[in-house]
Amino acid sequence: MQRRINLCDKPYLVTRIGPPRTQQLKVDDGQFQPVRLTSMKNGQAMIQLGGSRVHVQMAVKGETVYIRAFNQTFALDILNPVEQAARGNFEGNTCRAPMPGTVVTVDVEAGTRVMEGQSMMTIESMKILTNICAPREGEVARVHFEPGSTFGKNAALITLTKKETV
Amino acid sequence: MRRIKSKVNPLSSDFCTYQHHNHTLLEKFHEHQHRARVDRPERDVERLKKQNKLRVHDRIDLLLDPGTPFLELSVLAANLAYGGTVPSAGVVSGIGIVSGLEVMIMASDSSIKGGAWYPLTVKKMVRTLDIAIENHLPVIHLVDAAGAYLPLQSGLFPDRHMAGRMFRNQCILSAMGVEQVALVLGHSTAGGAYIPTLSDYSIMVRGTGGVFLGGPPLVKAATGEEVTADELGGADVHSAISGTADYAVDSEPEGLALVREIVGTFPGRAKKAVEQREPEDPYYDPRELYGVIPDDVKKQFDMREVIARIVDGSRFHEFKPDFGTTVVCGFAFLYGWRVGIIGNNGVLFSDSALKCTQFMQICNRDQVPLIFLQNITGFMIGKAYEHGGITKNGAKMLMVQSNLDVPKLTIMTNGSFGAGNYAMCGRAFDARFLFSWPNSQISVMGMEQAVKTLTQIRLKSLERQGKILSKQEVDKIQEDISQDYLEKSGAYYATSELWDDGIIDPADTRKVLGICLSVALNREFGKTPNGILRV
Amino acid sequence: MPDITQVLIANRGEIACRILRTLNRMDIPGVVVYHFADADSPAVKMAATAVQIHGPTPVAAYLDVENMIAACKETGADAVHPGFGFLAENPKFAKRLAREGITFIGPHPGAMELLGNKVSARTFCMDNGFPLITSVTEAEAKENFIESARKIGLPILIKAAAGGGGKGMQIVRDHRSLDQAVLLAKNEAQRSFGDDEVYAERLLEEPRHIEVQIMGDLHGNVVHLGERECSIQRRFQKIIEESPAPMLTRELREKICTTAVEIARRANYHNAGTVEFILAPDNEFYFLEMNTRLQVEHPVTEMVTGLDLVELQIRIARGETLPLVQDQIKTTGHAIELRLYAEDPANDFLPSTGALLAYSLPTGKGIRIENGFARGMQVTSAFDPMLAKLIVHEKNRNQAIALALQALNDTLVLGVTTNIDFLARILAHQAFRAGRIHTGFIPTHTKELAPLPLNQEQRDLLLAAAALGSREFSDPVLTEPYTSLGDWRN
Repeated sequence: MQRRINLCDKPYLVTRIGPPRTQQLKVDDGQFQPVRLTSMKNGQAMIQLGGSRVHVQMAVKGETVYIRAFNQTFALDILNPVEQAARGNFEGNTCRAPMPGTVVTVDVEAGTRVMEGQSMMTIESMKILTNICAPREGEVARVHFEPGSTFGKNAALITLTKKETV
Repeated sequence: MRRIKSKVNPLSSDFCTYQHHNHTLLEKFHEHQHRARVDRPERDVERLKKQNKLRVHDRIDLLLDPGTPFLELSVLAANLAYGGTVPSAGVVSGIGIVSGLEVMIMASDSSIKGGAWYPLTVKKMVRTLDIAIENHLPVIHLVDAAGAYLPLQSGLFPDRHMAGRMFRNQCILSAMGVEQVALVLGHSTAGGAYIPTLSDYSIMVRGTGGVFLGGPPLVKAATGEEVTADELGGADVHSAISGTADYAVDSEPEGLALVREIVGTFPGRAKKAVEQREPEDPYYDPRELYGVIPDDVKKQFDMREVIARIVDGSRFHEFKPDFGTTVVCGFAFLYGWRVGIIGNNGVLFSDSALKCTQFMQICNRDQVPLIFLQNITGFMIGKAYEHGGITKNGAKMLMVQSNLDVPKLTIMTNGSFGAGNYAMCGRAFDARFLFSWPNSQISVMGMEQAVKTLTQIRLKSLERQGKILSKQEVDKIQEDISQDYLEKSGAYYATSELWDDGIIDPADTRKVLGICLSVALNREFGKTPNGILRV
Repeated sequence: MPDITQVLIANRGEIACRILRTLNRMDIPGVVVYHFADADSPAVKMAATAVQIHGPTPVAAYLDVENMIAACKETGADAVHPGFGFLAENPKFAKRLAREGITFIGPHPGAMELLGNKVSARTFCMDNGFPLITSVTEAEAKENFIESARKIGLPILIKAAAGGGGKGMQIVRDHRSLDQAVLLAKNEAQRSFGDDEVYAERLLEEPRHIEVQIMGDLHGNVVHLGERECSIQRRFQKIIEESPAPMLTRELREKICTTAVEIARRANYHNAGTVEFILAPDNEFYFLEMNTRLQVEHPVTEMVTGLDLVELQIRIARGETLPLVQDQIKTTGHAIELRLYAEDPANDFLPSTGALLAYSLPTGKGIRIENGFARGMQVTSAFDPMLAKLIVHEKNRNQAIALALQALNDTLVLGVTTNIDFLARILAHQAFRAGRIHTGFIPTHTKELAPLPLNQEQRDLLLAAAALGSREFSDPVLTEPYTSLGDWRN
């Protein structure tokens, strides 16, 4: 099984092979190492990879795994390969919502030419206003929500037309 | 079960000579395979890059489950045809695991003449789908082909087992309930348009994928209409307007991930309920085979040494060991599955043929898959033997063998000449898979005899024309005939013409047979009635 | 003087639970109102009676005066405790309750109007000679507000007159952004408090935020219960508070606290209130604002004084005389409060939402928890993202810090991003431990407060844990020969 997992906003390719009792795992192009997860009660677990090991506290919801370890808490997202391959195609072209919220104002429409940094939409969440700005110069292809509608985290808000390749 | 006691001496001079010979053959084989897989004209590699297309083996790597094997079939198809310009006949096919399921992958290689179909390309694709039908293997089509290679169209279009057979096979697979998923990563024109359309699931890649019965140039020539490939039959047209395709994706990786997702929804295939015990690696190292196989097809070796380097624990229960000693029959386990093995240890006599016949009846009744290890120069001839019924008894063996429904797997380990080929389950006898070792040879008659006869015929013909030949000229004629015969009876020619499913490294025989047996168990098989045995 | 026999809590979350605890101790039945979004909250389960309220948004429901009146009538509650935020500093609400004969457990609406509005509080201080920072209000400057604000110099702080909590606040460091800042502040103020009046004041750099808890009864007695240091803030909101304020001389402390009492007395203030000051590095202090309500961080005062402020509030509302005089109020030890928020410190403290998959708060000697959530509940964008308050009390500041760190270590929240580890890093920071704190602490030490980056080994362990812990990574079981063959190719 191979999946891209996002950790601290960076994707890593994790590959796991082998029958249940003797599994091996590698990250990106590293070496395969024996791996084992021992669950204890109360969401505690111990993960061993090669010669390293650490106690963690884990909880899973859908494709997100929350882990407490190394005095920090992390949320790792296991990316669905179809979606992830699809998303790879729109790198840099779609502005996504940093958190769930509501659209307050929309300042552009399909066809509007925007400059880098230009504010295209204002959203509100937990009483904080945020401007959604153009990541680069370009033309708006589509605005996905209208004022008043609500959206979830990472929802595509505005898509720009594909950058023309030179 | 007792273990075969190997009598091979790795220190003997024969062993060393043979080993050196076979290592050389193996090196040559690996080099050929590598070139067939990797060497491509620079211009075509650049073109792929510009079109944002992955190379065919990279596509397959993205498709397969990590940490799983891939058995590629007929890698050297067409290696001696078309001036060697169509490696692997322009298509890659093989068995692998995708989302946990055994599947057959058939992928056009558009870095070779744009993926055009030559006669051997079509033959390979038909064979691939035949294997899928016989073994109930779901098929993944990676479609990226320019269409038929026009100059050779008569060799790939009109006949029964030519291009049309591919589409007929697809329809049969569909009705059988064996799934097909197609990913169109290039053009799929004319008849080729049927490949994705006859598949259960059809995915098209935007920008590069195109499905149409006639492409833009043909359309313009026929009706004057001017239209781009995308407008005519691109991904969006077919997935949103015509319904000819089911999904449109933006890139090859997305398409391949989608294929994996679709295959992941298929239920696991229940294998035929045969007992599978705990496997055991052979006791003897398979690489010792390089020292067992002689450097001359006329030299004999004990087939038990081969068996010992294929089966679990090198354990073999020999059946009727004292009778018909020129053939070895017995039971063994391969990756835990019980198999029957028939291997030549000399010429076939009446008694050997009868032993095989009896043994195969047991395998038939008890539904034991059979492995045929061929090294046969023929049946014994001569007055005593004819009077002894050699022809009749050979026919019995043939009669039972042909009518078996159990899976048959054949390996050409050395020679395969004449009627012996038939009895030992040659190509015509529907072995589920048939592989050749690099040293193997196959022809209707042993080379020496054949060359003598052919030379005589040639000389007689020249005589009639009034030509007088010097000794050198006679020798040259015999030399040329020998060369030609040797080439056309060698493993490379056989595999080039798709008389087998590929050349394999002898030391890999166990692994190859293991995968083949596993897929062979994907469908039911049972006892079959024999034909009439002439007693 | 009216008796109080049943108290309706016009609030939610942890403060509703906390008020209920005191009511239970005093044997006064409590009524909790709740919007459907809060149906699973602990307060609803704790209360003897719970009344569902409605509104166009959950927040609007709690801001709806009629909702509260109706709930009081329905249940027969004769008093309302407004908690903090929502209607706590809404004089119209207090007046309305008075008209209905319901006791409002808090100050007189007049005091709210005078001191709750920052502009009039400022005027009041000016008129009475209390120390103030240079500022200008819209009322004074009228159309010239922007121009007058510019005259203050730089940097400038634009603040909402009607409320606090950081809402409606904008910092201006460049005069060119002044107009925009005023506009944004007014918009946010309107949305949060229903009143868009703002004022501008000089922003002191690296000040400390010191506030004094005062308590006054209906008979003119006013005492202070010590000061609190609330300088550790982000987005103008406090996240760590402590009492006593570190590094203050006895004289300075005395001066600040008595000034606070004077302000309250001069304003005829009664019930609980907090006077907030800005303490400059040169030890000059200025009146900032007065909060005419019980505050979020009141537990630190309770820990060091041993008093129950909610109980005092109720008794004062009943007309009782303050049970203690100033000399009798003693503070012992040191208390620290940590506000646990569902937010991402690494991403500008953006609020985080999700389900609480794991939620376990520490217990033990010296640890007090005020909590509004339970495992399995959803943290939504409907309300402020505060999950709970963790308060510790120890003999001295160092030990309190140590206990706080241990308590944070024992806290587990999974399912939303939290500031738990961030708070721990603040507590462990050299400057914090040395008491070198000011309201710009977090921006000043941003780099040092960033989490340690993971090394490859740690990163790989996390990835492995995720891979093995999630269903997404389940492999179909392979059989022989595939298990032996691995990734063989011919």
